[in-house]
Amino acid sequence: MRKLPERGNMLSKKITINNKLGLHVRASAKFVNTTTKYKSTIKIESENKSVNGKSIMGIMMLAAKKGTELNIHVEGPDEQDMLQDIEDLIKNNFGEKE
Amino acid sequence: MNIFKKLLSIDRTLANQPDNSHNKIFRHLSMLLATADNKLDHEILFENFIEREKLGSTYIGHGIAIPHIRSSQVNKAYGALLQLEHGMKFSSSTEENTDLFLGFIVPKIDNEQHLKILANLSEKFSNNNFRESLRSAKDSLKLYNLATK
Repeated sequence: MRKLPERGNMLSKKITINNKLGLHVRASAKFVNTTTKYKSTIKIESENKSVNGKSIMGIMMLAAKKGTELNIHVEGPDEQDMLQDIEDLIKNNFGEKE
Repeated sequence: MNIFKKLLSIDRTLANQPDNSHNKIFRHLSMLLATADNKLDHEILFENFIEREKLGSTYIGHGIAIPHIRSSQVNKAYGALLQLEHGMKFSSSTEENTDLFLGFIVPKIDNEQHLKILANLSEKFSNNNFRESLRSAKDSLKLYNLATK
């Protein structure tokens, strides 16, 4: 019998960017280094834009500054871990001091 | 307004270069950017590029890198575009080669402008037709015209 691919239910969470510089190149690269470790897909919505959370260019297109709310949707076999990892990264200000 | 029109000039666009090292890339970008404003010193820009790249790669995917400097010496943003004849290994985090470099300097205090430049560049560079058109340019004038079209 053919095994169906494992699927998630899709999780969504709103998280606000809080580092001083927002989603600049280094923060976007760290974001993608984190999301590409997982199999699940990730879509980020912010201010009428919707981008792929595994693309540095995609994330930078949001021009998200400090205080911007991201609506994050993850879906796949490891969606819960991925969402947690991303939430930690954003809440730790991408390892930046401010 | 087209972001490349805003950032570039024909003097700061260089096509078909045989370079293959980080130092050569940053040297070129520094020399090009220094022509934009006589307050800018290419040696200092070069050091700034090296320091920035140590913090993490400015590679953004699809063979493109955007080395950049936040500076209190400029009150507007300037860019320089460099195209290599052959791609080189620029980022250790990917197997992909890099052959297009858009270096820029942006006023340190204006973070919002910085984010907007990143968004505008990403919108352009995420378009495959645009990237391939830049790669097809064999000389600097053609490269400038295609980038600013």
